[in-house]
Amino acid sequence: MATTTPTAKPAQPHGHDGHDHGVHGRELQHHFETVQQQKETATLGMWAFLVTEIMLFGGIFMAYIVYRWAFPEVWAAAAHHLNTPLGAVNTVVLLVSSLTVALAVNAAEEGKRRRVLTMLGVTLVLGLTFLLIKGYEYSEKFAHCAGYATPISWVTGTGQHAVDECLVPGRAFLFPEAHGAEGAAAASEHGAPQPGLGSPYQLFYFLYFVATGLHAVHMIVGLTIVSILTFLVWRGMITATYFTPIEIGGLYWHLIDIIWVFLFPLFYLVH
Amino acid sequence: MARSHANPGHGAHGSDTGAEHSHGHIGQATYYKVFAALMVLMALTVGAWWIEGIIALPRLLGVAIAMTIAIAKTVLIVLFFMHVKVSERATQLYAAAAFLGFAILVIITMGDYFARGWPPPPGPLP
Repeated sequence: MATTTPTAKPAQPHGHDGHDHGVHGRELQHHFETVQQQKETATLGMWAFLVTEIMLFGGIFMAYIVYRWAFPEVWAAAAHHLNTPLGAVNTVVLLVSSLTVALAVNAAEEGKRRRVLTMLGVTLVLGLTFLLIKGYEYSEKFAHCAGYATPISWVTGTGQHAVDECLVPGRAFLFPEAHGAEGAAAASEHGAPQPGLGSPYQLFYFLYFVATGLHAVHMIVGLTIVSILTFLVWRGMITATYFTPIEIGGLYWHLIDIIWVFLFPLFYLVH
Repeated sequence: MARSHANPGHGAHGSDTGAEHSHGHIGQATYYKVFAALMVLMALTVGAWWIEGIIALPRLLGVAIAMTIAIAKTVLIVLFFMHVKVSERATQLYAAAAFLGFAILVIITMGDYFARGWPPPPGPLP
């Protein structure tokens, strides 16, 4: 970094000998000494970005900690209305997708193009599955607000006024009757469950929608990245020498997985 | 910067060299093992939640169990799937700094709340 190389010698074969790469392409840009150094630099840059991502989600987690600490009873009562089985399935889906991404990077490293394509393809399918399940969970909550039991009955328009709850934050928010000892305790402590903006349970669902919504946005970005990577591999632009895009794209995917690893127990597994 | 791994040309190990000397390489078998561990941890966290629904544990203990498992999963993913175990020191430093930064955020914020005597009686978690 301290050595200032004179820039006015374009035709010169660069200073680092011992390499047999004739042309400087994306495999080795001219300002790097070795392929390894270039890859490490890219990885470090990606990590610098991931640090900012963790700070972004960190703010939401911080808000979560403060309010759960303050209102543990509200949390316990509110979390029972989330669909834990679907949340668990989604956790498994994301963990498997992390494995396939790791295997894709591994295959790219070994120059196995076909295997990379397979692994990235499976990752795409798993990512879409995650979003579909998440979308179903969301639409269930919105269907309840419209008075239907399931999103399907909402679409077909059968059986309105089947449910009397609305867990989407806003003016229509209506937490169902407190059930069990926990719910009753929470209700007596913070006043009876009331509709609209005054309901204490709204805080949990507000954080739920913000956290999982931001996570879903990251999933969409991640899917876009994996699609682009698949295209690059398909076009033969990824080789065993140069697979940095797969490597750092994979880092992003794993980060999304880590965020979900925390979101799942914090929202779905609450007593 | 690349002092310890300035092994010229070794990034160019082409075809199928398998798991070997190459720094930055984690074998396939390891990935499968890590994945199996992640699945076990996943089952543990759901299992613990299920048991807590039957027998009454202190709420703080339940949260501690869930977070311990989540942190264990994160460590596995970061070290193996994200290759931090075999990365350069600077990368390892950044990865650690991310979580250290979050820890500082939590400690200072909660420290401030506690110092002001908030929240009133209902908290802390019983």
